[in-house]
Amino acid sequence: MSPAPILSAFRQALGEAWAGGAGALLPVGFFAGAAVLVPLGVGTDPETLRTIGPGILWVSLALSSLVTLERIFQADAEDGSLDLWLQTSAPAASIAAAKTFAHWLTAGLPLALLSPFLLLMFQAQIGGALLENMLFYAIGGLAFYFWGGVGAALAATVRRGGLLISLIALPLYVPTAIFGALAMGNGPSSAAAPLFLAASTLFALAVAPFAMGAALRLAAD
Amino acid sequence: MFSWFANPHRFLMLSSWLAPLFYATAALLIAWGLWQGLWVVPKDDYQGGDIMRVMFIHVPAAWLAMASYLGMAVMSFVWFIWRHEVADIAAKAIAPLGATWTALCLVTGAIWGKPTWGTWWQWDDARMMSVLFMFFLFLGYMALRAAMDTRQKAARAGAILAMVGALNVPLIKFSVDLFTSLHQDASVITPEGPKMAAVYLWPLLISSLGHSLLFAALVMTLMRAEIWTRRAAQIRARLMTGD
Amino acid sequence: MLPDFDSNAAFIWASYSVGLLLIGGAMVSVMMKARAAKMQLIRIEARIRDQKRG
Repeated sequence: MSPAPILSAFRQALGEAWAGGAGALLPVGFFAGAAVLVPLGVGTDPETLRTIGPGILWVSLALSSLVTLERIFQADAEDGSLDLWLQTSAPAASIAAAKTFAHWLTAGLPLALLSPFLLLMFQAQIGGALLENMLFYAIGGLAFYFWGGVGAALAATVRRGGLLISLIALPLYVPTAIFGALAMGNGPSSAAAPLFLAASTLFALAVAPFAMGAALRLAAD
Repeated sequence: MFSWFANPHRFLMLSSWLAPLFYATAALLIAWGLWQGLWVVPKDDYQGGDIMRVMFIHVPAAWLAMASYLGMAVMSFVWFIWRHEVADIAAKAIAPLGATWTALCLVTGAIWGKPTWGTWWQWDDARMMSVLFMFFLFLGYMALRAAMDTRQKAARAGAILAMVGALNVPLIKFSVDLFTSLHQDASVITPEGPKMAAVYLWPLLISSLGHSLLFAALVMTLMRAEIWTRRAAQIRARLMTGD
Repeated sequence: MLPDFDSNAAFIWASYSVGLLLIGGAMVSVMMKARAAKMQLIRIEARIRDQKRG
């Protein structure tokens, strides 16, 4: 087995993200738009916004991962490149992992990088916590994209599978959302929460690629 | 053992007498459990009086919610590894029924919660939240199967999802437990537990057994329907090609 | 005779009614599905017999 197909899948996914107009700016726009809508809905009380801000961003992150995931395997299944990937010597799981990781780099990581600015808009204080939270959003987002990738791979041959992906992925997002929220809280048991967050992301990285690989082989049949 | 059951014809033979037997036994057991639970057992003032009688429907539903998801995952695994057609038929049949009992568990839990905790929905109760997410897993499974255009694809995709979900259930449970342990103010009653009096325990066990038998019988009936449908589709396909 | 519950009687009856509704609904729909599948199979098998007889 040679790593070449995996690398080329990774590069292709990176290229796709930047192709087609706005490219990687789209998820960023969606993320910010979803988050900014909330104060308009719940009111602008600074105390409230400071409390709910980090949680709003978790929800926005989960939602933006879902809206961008629909196409990542569907396009490959349609134009036949999926069949080509699967004919190479590389395991389907590693191809899927490479594509999903590239997708997180272009669509998930920018959201984490943007999070300090959004948190400031939600009345957070400037400080180290902003950078810490950025790290949590990055780690948690990785798990979101991998579990969402399972849904995307399963729904790769389903036309307009977006809602289906959401229904499949949302229960799988629960541990990450909870550990992420706890990691940012100040509760007594939140000290271990960052480790739980990292562990649940590692679990996603270990399990999801195999499920995606099996689902892609199904989509190619 | 799996291979012995894997033959649809053998399953039809077996279920043709096993399902009616299960229906009849379930009717007796559930009737006895209801009679005991609603008429005979004394109310428990320590647990809010008569409201604890909801237990005799809520706990069987909670047990079946968990058992049915596990059953669906095991059947998916068996199908995925050995490709035994009957296992897939079983997984497909369990999903809607499991979702029904899971919904029953949620609704009766909410109804029990209102007079006991003063709220229909207790976000701090780990069990309610875990069961809710299991309900979503069932819905996702059914939606995914329905979206696939061939039987074979529906079986494969469903099996992958059921197994991924089963791996995640412990993690979901653990994270929800951790989440709720931060909110200590909720005083959650625990009807199950070693301290429960035998007078409640027997009706509870019998009701749970009755619900399980009814569930199993319904699964068998749905499986029989699926086998007949597949057979009819096969014959129709043969007629079309003109054999 | 119906049992006489304390102030929470409505909640108890509500939960058992929901149970009856959900489980009864599931039973009815399963039975209907099984019947429809059986009828369909019988019909199509009869058609084959007719065809064979010519």
